[in-house]
Amino acid sequence: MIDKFSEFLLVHKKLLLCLTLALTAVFPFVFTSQYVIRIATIALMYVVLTLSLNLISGMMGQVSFGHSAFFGIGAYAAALTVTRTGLGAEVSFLAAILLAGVFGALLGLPVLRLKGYYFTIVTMVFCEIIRIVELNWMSVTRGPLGIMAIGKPSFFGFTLRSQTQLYFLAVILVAVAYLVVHNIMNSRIGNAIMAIRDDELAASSMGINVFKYKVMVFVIASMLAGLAGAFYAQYTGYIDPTNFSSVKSNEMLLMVIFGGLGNAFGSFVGAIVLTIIPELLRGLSIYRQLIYGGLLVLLMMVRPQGLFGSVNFKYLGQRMGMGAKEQKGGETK
Amino acid sequence: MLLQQIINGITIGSTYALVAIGFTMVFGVLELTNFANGSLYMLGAYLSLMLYLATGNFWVSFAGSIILTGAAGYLIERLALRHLRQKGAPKLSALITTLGMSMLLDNLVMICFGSESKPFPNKLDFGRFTIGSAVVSYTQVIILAVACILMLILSLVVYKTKLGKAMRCTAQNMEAARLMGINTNQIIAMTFVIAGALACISGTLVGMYYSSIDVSMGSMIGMKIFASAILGGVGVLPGAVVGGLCMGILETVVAGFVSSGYRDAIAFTVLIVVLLFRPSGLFGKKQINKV
Amino acid sequence: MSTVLNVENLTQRFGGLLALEAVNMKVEEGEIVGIIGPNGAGKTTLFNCITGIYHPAEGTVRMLGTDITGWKPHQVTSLGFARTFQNIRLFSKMTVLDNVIVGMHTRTKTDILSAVLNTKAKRREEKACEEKALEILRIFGMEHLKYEMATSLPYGPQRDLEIARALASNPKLLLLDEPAAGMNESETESLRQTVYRLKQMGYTILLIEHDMKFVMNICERIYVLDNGRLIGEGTPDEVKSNPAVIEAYLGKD
Repeated sequence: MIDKFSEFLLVHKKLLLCLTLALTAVFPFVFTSQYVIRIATIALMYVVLTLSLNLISGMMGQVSFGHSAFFGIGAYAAALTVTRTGLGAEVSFLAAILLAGVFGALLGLPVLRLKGYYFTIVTMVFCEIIRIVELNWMSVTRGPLGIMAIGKPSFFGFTLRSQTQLYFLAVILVAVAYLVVHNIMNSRIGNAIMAIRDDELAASSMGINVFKYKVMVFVIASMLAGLAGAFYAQYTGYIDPTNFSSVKSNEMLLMVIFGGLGNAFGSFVGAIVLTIIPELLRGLSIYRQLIYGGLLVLLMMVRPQGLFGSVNFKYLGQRMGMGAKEQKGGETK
Repeated sequence: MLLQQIINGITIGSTYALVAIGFTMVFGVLELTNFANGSLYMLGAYLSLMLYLATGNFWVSFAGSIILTGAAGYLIERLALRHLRQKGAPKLSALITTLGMSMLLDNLVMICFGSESKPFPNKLDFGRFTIGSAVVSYTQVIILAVACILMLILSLVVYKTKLGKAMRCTAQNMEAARLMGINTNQIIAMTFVIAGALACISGTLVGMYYSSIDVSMGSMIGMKIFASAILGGVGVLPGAVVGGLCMGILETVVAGFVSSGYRDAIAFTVLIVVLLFRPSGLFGKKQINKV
Repeated sequence: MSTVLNVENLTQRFGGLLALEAVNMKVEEGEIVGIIGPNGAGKTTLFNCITGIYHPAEGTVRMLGTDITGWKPHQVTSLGFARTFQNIRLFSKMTVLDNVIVGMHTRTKTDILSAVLNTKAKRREEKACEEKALEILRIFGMEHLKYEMATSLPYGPQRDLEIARALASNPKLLLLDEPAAGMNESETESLRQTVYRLKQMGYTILLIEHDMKFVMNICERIYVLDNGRLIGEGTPDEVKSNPAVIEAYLGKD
């Protein structure tokens, strides 16, 4: 069913893309409820996080349980820049990206040499270390009190105040993240990344510097998570360490897997669906996590690779393109 | 003061060690990071308490709880993981399944028994004695003794019995083990039962040690268990014990002399540093790339 | 003619086991050289030492005069060696075409920034890569399979694809690890023709093989390994009549 659906998506790619873009553009004007726009904005922020985590975990096969550490580092970097210096969002966003990138390198350089599952556990542990530091470094992070009254993002003097404006900022961030991930994956570097995922040893025998690419991808993904963190801090205006715990990391990974490992389109689906479902379950408050856990187990039983995990749109498109050509050739004869 | 911290550390560490043994056994056989281990630990403590409140006989309840938690471990394997293996699903989906199971268990217990912490009877309170300036309770001695005895028994099982041999075969090469007539599913199920039983014993002992339990105790210990197991080297039983003791001592000493707030952060940083020098943990073996 | 590969006194141990003991060998440009020997003789270990997967305990490996002992696999490949594997190791979730394109990694230059910005130079390089890859696939008559997933191919074509992927790096020496393993007679024959064609195209090849007939047919020189030691070398005829080799293969009477 998913295969048929994927083919359908590809055949009507242009039309669907236009429709989606149009829908994205008119969305805040059709649904004027602040609550709905807010959920949409948060979902978009999660798309950025999911795409970047998918780059490490799905496309390169290095499963990270610590993505929210970089999300948090970005958020604190931006929050501190804004509240302490009063500089604009162009500076705070940049600071967030850079600091998250630096921490990505600091963790990645020693740890990406470890075997896969060691890496997984160490990322989880790293996330906890960062959270504890956020919680205890009172003079900088104000610990459990969090940082309050973070100004709304203001680019070169123009401040984004309304929900709608912030929504469109999130749209732009998603576009940036998608282009970065998409362009990397459709280059020789992307091929190297996929080769590393499939067989590290064979990849290195093809002349691919496995370690270099692992660190590179890890840093890029961390930077994107930092970007999302900067947005989050200035969007909500308040952050505290509970926002960046390993529970959040797990949520991000679930989004990636729900949509399908290694599939960028799946990351959109995963982030959006798994942001909306908990909102729908809000009425069932105490059963929420229970249902969530149950759904997860069920999904793994039915589709262990996630919804679009077994689909590669590029390859599917190539094959369909070739099929169509052959058909055409047949007709002209 | 230092001695006291170390003694407390050994006590906490031995409870980590108990759960870490179960974790590392499952990992050894399946290469699976079992997230549900912490939840089983919490479930075990709750079952012991609830059965006790219902029956009034603590030791019978404890035994019943061990069996029930072992059964819960079995069900996780039987209902979900076996199915995934047969489908040839990626290892990650098994990991996510255990994460989902852990959410299910945690929330089931919370809905049934509430999220507030519950007083737990200490049936091992036989008083205390002093070594120099340090005070040691018999509860602590018993916890350490139980951990050591169980580790010995399990090491004997794994390295000396036929069942253990079958486990090690399954761990090395599941396909070949099956061809040799080993019922790998049964072996894997057995490992989960053992992991569940150990988690229950540890959870109940911890409940008695602190005289209280709560729902979040599982998720609190979860990461410590992973850390203990990889510090010792995953898949190596004595490694899990040493790793658990190290984590326990490290965190109490850090809490006592450096900072209680940064306790876990420093313990985890030490773990990362150790892995830099010994990438397979303290007792893990280096593997040769087979081409 | 220059010496492409020069191995001197190469020794490798695993624990107490001596896997290779003071092996000396040479491959000259344009040659096809074979390595034979019984199971466990150390043939693949020798390959792994040459291509950087293992770090040899003693001895040196030189490529065109450069000492590459202890280099990492990717460095060895960038300098000009390319290999295949005994148990096929294709990139399973990639197409035939992309497998070959990965093989070109050392010949392409796009850096991360141009990749992210999708520059013109990057797209040009990509196009050139694809054409070159198709050209290589044509040698094996696999052009029509370009969009198939690598692991959906039958066994024979998978072997061919591994060779194609290795060729993509334009290697100065191609190392084939048991290319005919598991092949039936007609597949072996077509492999023989492929190797012959590669020789005509000017490639230098070092191959490990079990199938004596195959090796005798195609190789100009042969090294014989047994228990980690070199017990014979020479032309196929010389090797065939070497008593030490006969003993290793047939056992003492």
